Amino acid sequence: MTTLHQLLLLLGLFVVPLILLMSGHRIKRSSSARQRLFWGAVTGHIVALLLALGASLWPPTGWLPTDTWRGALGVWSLVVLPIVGALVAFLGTRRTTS
Amino acid sequence: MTDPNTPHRRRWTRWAFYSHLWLGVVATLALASISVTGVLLNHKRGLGLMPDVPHETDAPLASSLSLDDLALRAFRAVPAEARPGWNEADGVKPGLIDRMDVRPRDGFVKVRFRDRDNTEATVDLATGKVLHVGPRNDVFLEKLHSGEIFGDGFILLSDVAAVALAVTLITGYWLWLSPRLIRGRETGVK
Repeated sequence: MTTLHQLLLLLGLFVVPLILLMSGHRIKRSSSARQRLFWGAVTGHIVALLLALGASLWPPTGWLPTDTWRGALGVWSLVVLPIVGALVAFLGTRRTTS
Repeated sequence: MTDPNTPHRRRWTRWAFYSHLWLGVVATLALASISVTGVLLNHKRGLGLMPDVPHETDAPLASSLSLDDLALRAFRAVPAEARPGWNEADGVKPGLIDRMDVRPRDGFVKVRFRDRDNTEATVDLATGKVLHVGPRNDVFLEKLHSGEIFGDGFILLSDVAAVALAVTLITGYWLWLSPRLIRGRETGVK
């Protein structure tokens, strides 16, 4: 595992949920767009958690730098999918309101 | 009687609630990973993650071949990926071996290699016959369970998760107990 992967793992494992938790404070009182952003990011992170868990366990052999899909699902997804989820939800809101 | 709903208790309950919430969310994946790998490790034989090599021997331990000879036989038996860059002429390269686990009661030695699959060769101590060759998937799961797989220092990750779990259990218990204590005292006052 490269240093970048280690950093991304820590970011996705601890920093992203912390940010989500902080942004979820009094979410019901915030605007509809912000609520959508929040729930999109939460959904993205939950999906990423499941993917990362699966990718880390299967196959039960060591990680190699050449394991592209494993790196994508096990490390990158934890950071990228919450952003994708938030964007998808935000764009969905814009389309609905316009 | 003292008021059960004192500021001190309210502060503690508030702290317990937020600790429970924050630690629970932050430690979710680490704890899920530790739980799943823990269950898999408990059933590693049944799930075929660890080879079970039945072997009986009457040969005395004194008749065992040398460690070097046994290791050489293991080198010959394992696939080339498990011993990259090795030639017969090199003899045994200790750097490619993770460990040799001698089982005198079973009459064999397990030679584990330092490759991606943690390939292991089981060799008879007396005859040198290779009994089994295959990957040790449970070794990977053990490293994932401890966090060691992600690099040096990541073992602290499982420590953090364990502490988070303990704090979450204590605070969860308090959050369940506290309202009942207050209700019980109020009923007692009446």
